[in-house]
Amino acid sequence: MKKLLLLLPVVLVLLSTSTALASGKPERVFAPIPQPLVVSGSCSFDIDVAVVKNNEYFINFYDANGNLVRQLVGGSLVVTLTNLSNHHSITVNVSGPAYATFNADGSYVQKYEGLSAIFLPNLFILTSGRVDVEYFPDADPVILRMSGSQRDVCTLIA
Amino acid sequence: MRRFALAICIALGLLAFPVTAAAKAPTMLHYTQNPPDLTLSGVCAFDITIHSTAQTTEIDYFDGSGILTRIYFHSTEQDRFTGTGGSLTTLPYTYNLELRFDSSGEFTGFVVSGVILNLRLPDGSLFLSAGRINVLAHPGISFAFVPDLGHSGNLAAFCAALA
Repeated sequence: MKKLLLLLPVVLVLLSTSTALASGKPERVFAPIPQPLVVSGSCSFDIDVAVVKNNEYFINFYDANGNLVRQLVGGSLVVTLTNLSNHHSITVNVSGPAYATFNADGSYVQKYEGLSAIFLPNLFILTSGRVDVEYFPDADPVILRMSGSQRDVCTLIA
Repeated sequence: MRRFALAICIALGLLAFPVTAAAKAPTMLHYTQNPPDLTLSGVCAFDITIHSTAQTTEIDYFDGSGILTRIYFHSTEQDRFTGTGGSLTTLPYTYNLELRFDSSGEFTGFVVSGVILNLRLPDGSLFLSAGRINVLAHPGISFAFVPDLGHSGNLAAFCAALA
């Protein structure tokens, strides 16, 4: 019977998720960060992104057909960024929040607010304030808007 | 970010050769640009020369009559700046450029958004300009170092590095 009890919450979660998708109601799910995570191409060295604390959740919004159209992420996220060439590191609070709007062509715009870590080709910055980035399925991302302050990770852990 | 003049030339070229009414679907082009070097005055206390290379994806949009209404460019560019005492090379940086036209072919919009410049200065610090430029508000502009809205790099440090 213990196994059945364990299964029950899982089944309930799946049921609630499918109901959310079918009805277009938002769902709240944990926002995992894959580990290990190594960022290449942003600085002249590779950077390991290690999760110290992750209590972040997505709130996903779907259209009537079950397509993900908008996503909020918030909570608490602390990571350690380590230069894999010399092991210099910093630990930073990058809890966001952030908001993504998905387009039918596969592109999406991510609006970063608060404290964020943004890595793009040839750029890795810690930001405080609003930064909008448009991501494409087959092209480099583009910064659409930038305000607040930025810190250069490549210099901080050089 | 020196694509302003080239973008206008491309747009005018397309207007001069309107497509047929059948060509209503957007068209996409991929190309690399190596424009002639540009010499700029007035940014630093001395002239600077700019050598650029850009890889661009261009999408042209047409109305139901086949008239060009909008051009979208997605470019990744790298520049080399040469001043009186040194040179600086940017990291490759990416931006979008969008042109819109009315039915008579006049510009109704000419906006750039993205990284304007991204380079590392000799002291290791980052020169980063990013945001949005309304090109129509800057007649005659051929190259931008800072956005209208967004974050601007330290131009004084940039010029000092080239002096």
